[in-house]
Formats: sequence, structure tokens, C-alpha cells
Amino acid sequence: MNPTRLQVLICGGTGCISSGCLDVETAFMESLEKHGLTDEVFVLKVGCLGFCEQGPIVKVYPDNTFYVRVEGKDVEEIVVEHLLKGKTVERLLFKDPETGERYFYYKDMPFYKSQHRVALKLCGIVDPEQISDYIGVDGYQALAQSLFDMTPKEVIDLIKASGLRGRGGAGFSTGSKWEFAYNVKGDKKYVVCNADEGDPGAFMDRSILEGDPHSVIEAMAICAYAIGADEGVVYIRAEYPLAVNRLRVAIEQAREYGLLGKNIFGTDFSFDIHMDLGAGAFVCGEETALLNSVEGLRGEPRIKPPFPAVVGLWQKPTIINNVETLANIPQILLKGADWFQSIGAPGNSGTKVFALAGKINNVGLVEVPMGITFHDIIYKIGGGIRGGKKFKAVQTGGPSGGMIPVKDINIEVTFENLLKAGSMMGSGGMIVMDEDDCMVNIAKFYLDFTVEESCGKCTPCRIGTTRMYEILDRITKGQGKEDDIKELKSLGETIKDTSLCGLGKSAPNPILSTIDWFLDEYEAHIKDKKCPAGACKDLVSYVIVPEKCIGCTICARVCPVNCIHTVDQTVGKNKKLHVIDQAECVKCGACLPKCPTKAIILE
Amino acid sequence: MIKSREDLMNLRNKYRDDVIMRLISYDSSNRTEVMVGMADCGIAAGARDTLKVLFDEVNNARLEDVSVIAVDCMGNCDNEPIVQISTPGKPVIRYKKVDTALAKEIVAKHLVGGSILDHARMEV
Repeated sequence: MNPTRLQVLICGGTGCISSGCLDVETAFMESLEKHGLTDEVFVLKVGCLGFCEQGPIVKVYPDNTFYVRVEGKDVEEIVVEHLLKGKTVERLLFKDPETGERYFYYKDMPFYKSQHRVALKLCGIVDPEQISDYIGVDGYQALAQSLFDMTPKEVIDLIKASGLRGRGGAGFSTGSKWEFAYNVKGDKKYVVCNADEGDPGAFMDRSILEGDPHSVIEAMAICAYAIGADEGVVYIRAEYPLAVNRLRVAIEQAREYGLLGKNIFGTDFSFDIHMDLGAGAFVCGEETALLNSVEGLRGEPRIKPPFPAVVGLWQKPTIINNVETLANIPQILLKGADWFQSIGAPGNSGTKVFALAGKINNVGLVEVPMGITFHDIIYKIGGGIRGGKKFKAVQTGGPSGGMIPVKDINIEVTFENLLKAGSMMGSGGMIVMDEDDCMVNIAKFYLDFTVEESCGKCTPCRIGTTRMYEILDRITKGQGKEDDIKELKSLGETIKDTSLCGLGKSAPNPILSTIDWFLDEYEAHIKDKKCPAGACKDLVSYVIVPEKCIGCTICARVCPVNCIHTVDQTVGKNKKLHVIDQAECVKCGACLPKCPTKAIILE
Repeated sequence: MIKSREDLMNLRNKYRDDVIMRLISYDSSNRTEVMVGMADCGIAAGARDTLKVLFDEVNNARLEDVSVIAVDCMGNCDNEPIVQISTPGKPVIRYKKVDTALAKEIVAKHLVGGSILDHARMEV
């Protein structure tokens, strides 16, 4: 292909596909054909650009223009004004919700300004379904460098020196892990990529596989060379059809090019990868349960030690690395350990990808240097709390993590600091809560998830989480008892102490941390039978203040169950006072924002 | 089929053209930007040909860190086609009435050779 003057990049991640990027692609093809620009402009779909909130995103290179929320009907204008005449279509640029300012270049946007993309670097640059793009940006050079210039031990030492730690949650040194497997003598070893991303709301692994699958394949081959393995498995959930498909295409292309298979680069190193599709059980993200699942057994954890690096898949030494961890490896080899150490915080080198969600303006995928503060992530990148509400807490680590309250918003995000604050890094979900979120209810939500996902092997986890859920359920329904908190704490500690795997060891975290930081909310539910945030439906009632009601009938008209009636009392200009029938009210809240005089209140 | 390290290097060089623009644009802090005024006034004066020549010549010279970008009116319609060259750390240079011959000269002397063409320069 001859280089074209312009390239139009359409975000083709799952998020943008669901907001309609495929229509945008078709519209571009039609419009370019119409204007005779097909030789001048190249259109391609790339991996996730991160700013899912504003999708579908269209980038124009080399201008570096960043268009947001592009629909099929906008395309003609982009083609005629921008591609033909060089005039930016300003109405499609990102507009800051706070300041109203529009941004021409993505680099100036606050959402991208504080980010540092390493693992996600090529997401949005390469076409994930073309190995040629990856090779063109020095893809597979790191593998060549390992095979020709380095001994396996030197590769391991380099990864150790870089300080890279597992991005799946526990934060164990990747180089040390590789060294364990390297030191075990054996005829057969395995490299497993853990792509069983299970935390609700986390989607960094999916995005990497959708946007840049070759970096993961290359990293697995490097690991295989380092530890002496010849077979790799990617364990990925079948719930990720696009990632599965792109990875399948990538593996096939790598084989065609001879980058997987026998005698890679004409050396005596051979390595191949196959995929294993998981059924989406949360516990199978735990490495030993994952191994069981690959072997066709029930997804239940094994007793450690022996660790998988010594006795793993089919009883052979096995390295299991998370997708994001692997995506860092090729760049560490090419740029060196010192470069990686120069990013992030001491003992926490490099970056971490977070899936930013919840009550925040800029929802999306962000990659930041380790050691950044929560404040910077939430306010600088995330654009603050939606609707100008008050920040209450941020939940990290998904159902295994805990809440970081306001008082800790300035701590630096590192593996250790999060543990100290009663949470954990986890795979990088970050859900922001505002004043309308009830902490007891949120804790119940996460526990509901772990009750469902507990594999049942350990009694404390299987029965204990169910008992905890029942207690929380009672509390949110106004039937809490005096010693419930004591009971929750004791159950939580016991489950943590006596469960085999990470699921049980961390399942009580959301409850324990909310009890620690938001005890007053628990007490309000138990003692006063009140939900301060107004989120627990059984504990609130919607009431019309007679002094404020003007009898306009708006509330009665929006009520879906027709439970707002008039009574014989004159208000306003000869109108009737309205009253909510508490027996019929379903507490949907539809009337609340509609009342022109704010006469409806929560009690 | 890649059989050696050289094979990979050859493929890298072959495929690089397709993707280099994206890589350079993504981290645009170090690139030289060659901007061509492509409003109606520029197009009427022949900016489309100028742009094409600039683009082809930059590619032929394999100037990886140079991007040729079409922009809106630069506000001096008499002198179109206008070409502006912004190199990080250097003053911005503008050339006036850039026809295809001058465009070739700009690439050869300014972008490759590093010397400013005083005869075609205009004030910024």
C-alpha cells in the first residue's frame, strides 16, 4: 500500500461498536467514494482509545483531530470540510462539561494529558487484525532481541531489574516468578496468559486483546524462551467475542509469518499458542482454578504451595501472567529496565490501567503512572463528579477490594498504599461513588456478586458470604439488629482467614472497609431505620410538603403507578393539594425532579 | 515466512510506511509540521497540487518525522498557496505562492537540507 495523505481512525473497541462505530465506518466508505478520495484517505478500525464515554471516537491523522460522539450523519461534513478543505468540524470536538472549552487535539484534553500509555500504547495506533502494522512499529523485535542477543537468564534479570509486578492484582514480581519456573528442571513447561477478566467494570485486558493482541503473543513467546517452555495457552472468557476473534486472527497471522511454530527466526526455539475459552466464572481468574479449568476439571482452586511456577498445568512448571503484565514486556526489552523504572513510584515502577466508572464525568479506560493520587485520577482525568455532586468514596479492586474514603483521596496509588488503606489494586476497576450512593447497599451489591461466584469448595466462603449477605439484606430493609455489625466483622475475618484462594480471602473486603469508614451509615440503618443517602427503598418515603405544593398536577402525571391523588384542600391558585399514597408508592423517584417548587422530599 | 532476524527487519521497513504516520501523530511533540492553507482561496490558487507534491516528496525522501497537514485559511489570501513549517524548538517559517516547483525546492532545501529559502519567505 502506498502511504495515504490522511488516515481516519475509528475506535473499534466493544464500547464504540455498541455506540454505533460500524455505521460511521460505512458512512466514511460511501462518502469517500462519492468524493473520489479513496486513494487519498485510508480508513481503519483500531482498538479502544479509552474515552468510551464519548464514543464513537474518530481520529484524523496526521492532523491529530479528535472527534467525539460521531454518528453516520456527521460523516459527510467531516469529509467535505475537514478531509477536502482542512477545516476542523468544531461542533464534533470534545467539549469540556465544566468549562465549555472545545479541544482540537487529544493531547490537550485533560482526560489524556495526565495519562502515560505503555501497556495501551499501540491500542489506537495499529490495526489489530493486521500483523503488518505491528511489525511496522517494531513488533517482534523484542523477541528477536531475546533470541539472538540474550540468554534466558539475561531476559529474566532484565524483567526483574525493571521492577515489573503482576497487574492482575497481587503485584508479585514478574521476573522473580519467571525465575522460579526457570530454576525448575523439566522436559515440558507452559506459559499461560490469564485473560479471564472477571471484575465487574474492569475491561483493560479485553481492550488490550482487542486493540493490540500481538504484544501479548510476543510477550508470551519471550516468556517461553526465558523459562524454557514450548507451549502457551490463553485462557479467555467466551463472553469476550471480539477479543477472542481478534486474538484468533492474530495467532493465525503470527503462525503464517513463522513467528509462532517450529524454529522461530530459524533458531531452535519453538513455541505455539492455543486458546482456551472459559465460561465466565469469576473464580477461574484465580490462577490455580484457571489451571483446573484448562485441564477440564471444575474451576476450583488448588492448595498452594506448590506454586504453579513449580507444579502447574498438567503438573508441569507453568508461568501464569495477566494480559496487562504481558503487554508491558516487549517495550521493557526494547527500551530497557531503567526506562521502565523511570516511570511510576519507587517499588511500583511503570503504569497501571484503570477502568474509570461510576459517578464521574469522563468514564473510560485510563493508563497512569503508578504513584499518581486518586485526586488526580478523579478530578484531572475523570473530570470530577457528575452533576457537581459531592465525592464520597472510590471503590478499587472490584468485589475483592474496598472503599477509599474522602480522607484518603490524596494517597498515592501503589500496591502497598491500597492495602494499607484497606483495599487492593485488583485488576484495576475504579468505581466512583457520590453522596447519593448508600455504602451499605453498595457492599451488599458486591457481596451478592461473590455469593454467586464462590465456587463452593471452602465452607467459610460458600456459607459465610451467604450469611453475611442475609445480614446486609436485613439491614437495608430496616430489620437490622444491634449486634449485626459485630457479627459481620467476625464472619468477615473468619472467611478471610480460612478460605483457600483469593476470592474468599478478599470477598469480605467491601463490607469490612465500609464498616471501617462509614460506620455511621450502618448505624443509621440499624438504629434509626434510615438510609442517609436515600438509596435503600424500604427505608425512604416520598412525601409532598403541603406548604410548598401548588397543585400543578405534574407529579401525578409522571407517576407510573398513579399513586398521587388530590385531597380536598386548596393550594396555589385555586388548585387541590396532592398527596402520595404510601401504600401504593413504588419509590421510583420519577416525581422528585419534576416538581417545580421542590415540594417533594425524601423522608 | 520469516526465517531470520533480517527477514523481520526487511518486513519492518516495508510495512513502516503504513503505520508511521499514526505513530508520529500520536506523539506529535517531536515532529515537524508542514501546513498547507486549503481554504477556498488556497484551493483556487492551486494548493491541492502543492499539497500533493509536498506529500509525495516528503515520502520519497523518507522523512519519518515530518507530517504534511492541510489546514484552514491562513489569512493572507493574496499569497496563497501558503505553506507553514513548524519544527519544535525553531521559529515558524512561512512561504508564499508555493507552486509545485517551489514545493519540491522546499522539501529538498528546507526539510532535507535545513536551510531557509529566503526568496519565498513571508512574515508570520
